[in-house]
Amino acid sequence: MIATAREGSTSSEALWESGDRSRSQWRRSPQAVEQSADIASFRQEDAFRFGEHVLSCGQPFPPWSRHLLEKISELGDLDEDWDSYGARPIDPRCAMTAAEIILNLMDSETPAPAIVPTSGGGIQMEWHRAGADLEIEIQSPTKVEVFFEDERTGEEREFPLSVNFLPLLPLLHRVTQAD
Amino acid sequence: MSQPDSDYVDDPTIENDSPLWRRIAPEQVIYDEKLGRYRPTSDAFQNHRNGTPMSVVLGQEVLAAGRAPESVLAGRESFSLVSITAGLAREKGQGIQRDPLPEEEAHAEVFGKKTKSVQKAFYRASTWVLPPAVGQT
Repeated sequence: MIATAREGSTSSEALWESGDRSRSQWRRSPQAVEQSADIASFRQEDAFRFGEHVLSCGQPFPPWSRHLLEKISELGDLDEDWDSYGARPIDPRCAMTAAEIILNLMDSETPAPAIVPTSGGGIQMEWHRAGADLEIEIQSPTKVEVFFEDERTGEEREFPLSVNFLPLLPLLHRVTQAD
Repeated sequence: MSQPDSDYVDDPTIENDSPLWRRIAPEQVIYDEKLGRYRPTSDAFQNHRNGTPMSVVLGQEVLAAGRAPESVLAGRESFSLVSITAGLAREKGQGIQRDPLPEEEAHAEVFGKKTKSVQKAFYRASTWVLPPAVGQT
């Protein structure tokens, strides 16, 4: 199970309703659930940290995910007004949500997305492949904007997600298949 | 402070072929496999988070004043400068209003809702005035 927590607390805020990491059962819980995980017990190599927030699944993260998590970590260096137009620093909760999407919805076959900051303090993951464009903008842990376009079929969709991120799975599959 | 778009008026003296320049932070540059080049991210073409419209600089006014494009990046040498046209902005339902500032006489605002679709049209049509160091394209 993947759990996130704020350092200094004694219990984690579980964000996953499913106890296993089966992608078909993945669903984000709107409410924090008390868990017994102890932050101090997280090993360095098993944990993703952003500010005071920590994410761990109790085992090493898959190798393919590590450079993506590092990219998210780098965004923590951005100060107020980093874009010169008043952008906010990255909200650690958005960083956690991005990491959770990577670890729960992607696998070694998924092409690596571009991971970029947004001016509102969020994080955007983008895929631009031969056949399709997919942008996932995490504005807050419960507010995600999705844009998908398949120029081969003319399909274009733009929609919000809040709690259930499962609709991302078929779109990730399509950018994986696009060539 | 945020104002409704109805408070802004599209300025017809800004011609459709007028270039609108916008600063791009290094973190907002990505390589687009489909386009085969570096370009700004879609979020680089967004209104201010306080609700005010997207800031741009009127490129022709900068040049007419004898200034170099680099002057728009003063103090932000790691940034790049990108251009779209006023005509494209209008085609996508936007308006442009002059808004001279003490520190930038050529400042203007592009008002209107910027959906992902609009942002995509902007980044696809954008051209580098001062390209990012990462990709001289």
